[in-house]
Amino acid sequence: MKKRILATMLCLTMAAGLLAGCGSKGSAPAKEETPAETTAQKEESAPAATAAEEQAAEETAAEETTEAAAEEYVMNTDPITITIMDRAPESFSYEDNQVLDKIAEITGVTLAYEIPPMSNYTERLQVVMAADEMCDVSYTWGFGATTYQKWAEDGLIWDVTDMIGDYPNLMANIPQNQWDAARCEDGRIYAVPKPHQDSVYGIGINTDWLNKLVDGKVPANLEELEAFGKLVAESDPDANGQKDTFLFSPPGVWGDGWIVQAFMPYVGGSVLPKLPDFDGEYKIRQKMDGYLPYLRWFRDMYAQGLIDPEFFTNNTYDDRTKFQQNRTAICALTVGQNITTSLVNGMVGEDVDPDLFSQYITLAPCMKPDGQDKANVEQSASNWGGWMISANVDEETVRRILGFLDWANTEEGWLMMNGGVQGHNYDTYDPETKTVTKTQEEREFDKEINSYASMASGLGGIMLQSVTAGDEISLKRAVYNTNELKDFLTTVNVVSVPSISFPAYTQFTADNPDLVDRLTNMEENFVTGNIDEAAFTSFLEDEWFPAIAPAEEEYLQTMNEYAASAQ
Amino acid sequence: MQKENAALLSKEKWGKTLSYIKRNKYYYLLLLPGLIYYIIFHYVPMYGIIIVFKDFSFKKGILGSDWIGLENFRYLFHLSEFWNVFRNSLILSLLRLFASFPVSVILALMLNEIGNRKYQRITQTLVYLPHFISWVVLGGIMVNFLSPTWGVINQVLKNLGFTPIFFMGKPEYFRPLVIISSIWKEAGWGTILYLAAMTGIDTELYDAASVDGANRIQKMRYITLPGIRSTIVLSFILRTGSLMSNGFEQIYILQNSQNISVSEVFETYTYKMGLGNGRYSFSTAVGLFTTVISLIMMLITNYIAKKGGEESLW
Repeated sequence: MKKRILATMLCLTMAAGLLAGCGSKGSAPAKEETPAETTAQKEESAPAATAAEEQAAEETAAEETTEAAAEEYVMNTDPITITIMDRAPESFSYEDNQVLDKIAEITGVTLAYEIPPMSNYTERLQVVMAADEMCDVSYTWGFGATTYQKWAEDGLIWDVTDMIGDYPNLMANIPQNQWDAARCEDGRIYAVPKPHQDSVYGIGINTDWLNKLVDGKVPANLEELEAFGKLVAESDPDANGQKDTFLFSPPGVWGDGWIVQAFMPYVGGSVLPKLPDFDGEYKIRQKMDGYLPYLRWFRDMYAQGLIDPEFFTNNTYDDRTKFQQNRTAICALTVGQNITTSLVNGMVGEDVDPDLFSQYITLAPCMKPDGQDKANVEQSASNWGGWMISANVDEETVRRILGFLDWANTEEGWLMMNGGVQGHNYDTYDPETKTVTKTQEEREFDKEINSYASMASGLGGIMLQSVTAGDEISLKRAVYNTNELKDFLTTVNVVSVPSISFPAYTQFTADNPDLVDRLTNMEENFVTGNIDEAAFTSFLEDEWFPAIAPAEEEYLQTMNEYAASAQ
Repeated sequence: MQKENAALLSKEKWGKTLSYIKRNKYYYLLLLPGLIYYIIFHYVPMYGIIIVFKDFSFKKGILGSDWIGLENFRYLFHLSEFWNVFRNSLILSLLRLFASFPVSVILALMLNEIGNRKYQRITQTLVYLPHFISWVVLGGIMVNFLSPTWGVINQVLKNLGFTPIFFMGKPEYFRPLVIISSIWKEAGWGTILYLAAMTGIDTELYDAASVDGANRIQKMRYITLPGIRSTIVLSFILRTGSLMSNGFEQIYILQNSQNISVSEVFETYTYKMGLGNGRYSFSTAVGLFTTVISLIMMLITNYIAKKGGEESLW
């Protein structure tokens, strides 16, 4: 009898566990109207040039609103719980977290995190979106992804365009180009960017090899670059007795924008450049004057054995790893806070005194076009993804969320979310270098804070740095990190690139994914010598140009209208 | 009269079944959680397959999305790379089936012949271990080992006076690399089923064979192999059921622009064309297409096995 009772109980427990696992987490409010419809007061989708004009008008209006809002805005601190799905490492502990308790005390907001494994965050987000089980706030890694546009189109996330102007700290800490990056094709903003450190493109050169091979002279043009490359490939600069060193190892044909600069007036960029060609005309990338010369140059370098022959197997950051392993002489970088520190420490395998950095790496600008004194750099939108608000929450909650994000973009909020609580997580804070000092005891609570879990990781384009109290080298490094970008910017021309979207092109890539993929493969196969120029150009002429023609037409019209309105 | 008899027989049959279930009710009760699991997580979600005939929109949901008939299939069959992808998937699957399937059987037979139990267990553990290494790690190791400049294998080739081979850059090496790495990683794990089947063989058969003077090879051939034949056949039939599936990770990690002509298979293609662009209906259409092909292949194999007097699924 006992056995029977036990067996029955066991089965019931197993079945109950199973059912509990698949239970709904609660009914979401009915979606009668999508927020996009209620707040956006959508017009018919306007042409992009009009969108650009509207954007300019919005910017002015936003500035005025910000000033007014700064005087009027008072944060609501009534208690509320906001659920957040975030991409953060396991090292961040949100349970028994005194920083989150303090945040709740100050703002009234209790943050309830849901953190799936970082490696499959994007997949998890897609599943949650498809199942309409979004948290109140969800982190999205990129705004360029088709999925973000699709979620916005489908009314799964709030259109916040008309609300953000009411939050002065959001408007002050998030620059216009970051807001523009979050704009969808309808010109509306559906996520609040997570501001990050500022950064621009540049390169790092192995100082030892540079000194050994060319007396420390940084290659200033393609000829000098090629000559340096030959010496790197032939002269065994790492002295291991083998010819196994290369000029560089790019992550794909267009991954190293620093060379593209010598051929085309922009770094990297997309198939539809937002800057005109050297002759002043707008052209799609494949029709720019420097397109084929760039690929021919690349092919020639590859054939000569100056480029890593395996570059097409590179995964993210493999180019950097090969540079740190003394396999390549040059590495493309986004120069910002911390880049030299992390590269040099990675090369040496331990913390290095910043005074010695130049012995390892020479920072240099991208290649420059003929006849120009300084190289151009795009001021990229330095956001680190952004925060989407679920369409399932009501407008009052959206206001609370925006209010909280606004607080997170104040110095107080930013410092607390990135540095924690003074006396518990850090000892002192220097607003000048944006650095906190920590004692060993305070370091034990580092798990309570994480830049991934922070709503704003950059304040005024700078990330918070932390040093251990009494560690003079760390302190010196913090100062170095803060000034690195500032110093680098004096050596380059910062170019402003307009933020304009091209719906027809987005549609083209969605309708012809195999063709877009094929272009990338054809370019790489041309560079590696697997196909000749005739085969490559006939692909462009016969397949690519006819297919992209409608998108090209829209692009040209949009850019020409933009140029005309900008004059 | 006949109808009445049939009804009576049927009633009797049901009665027997019910009384059998009643007699063994606790076993059936234990089966219940598994059954519920399958219904909830495998059968109920199947209704979602209708999105292959719809233009799925998050906003409208699965049932509310617009019907578009066979549009997703039309789009799929007209993609320029589709037939190449189909060919690659089929070739790789067949190679995998015929090259790696027998290896597990052979390995199991060899493991079974090891006399020293301790040594057998250590060997078994060692051949299982690669199964637990993720393809991401293994792929990274392979790329590094096979590098023409820095790789160990090419260093050995160079030292022996051979020209280094660019394994990852030549399409002709892709398929062998996939098969060899699959065998290395999964063959050991695949032996579990056969080793389990071997334990069910009556040991008296071996003793009798020894008395008759049979050697090890003969025992293996005339006792062990026939003893696990039904397991092999069933396992083979089940493998044909996943014929079009090559797994995503392994292929994606070893794939690059130089071998794309032979390495693009349905899993990677769907990922790039469908999921990457948020086209869920299209991705489901590809999934359904490959499932139908696999089902047909499985039915054919099952039919052949049955006709040949072997064990079959039904």
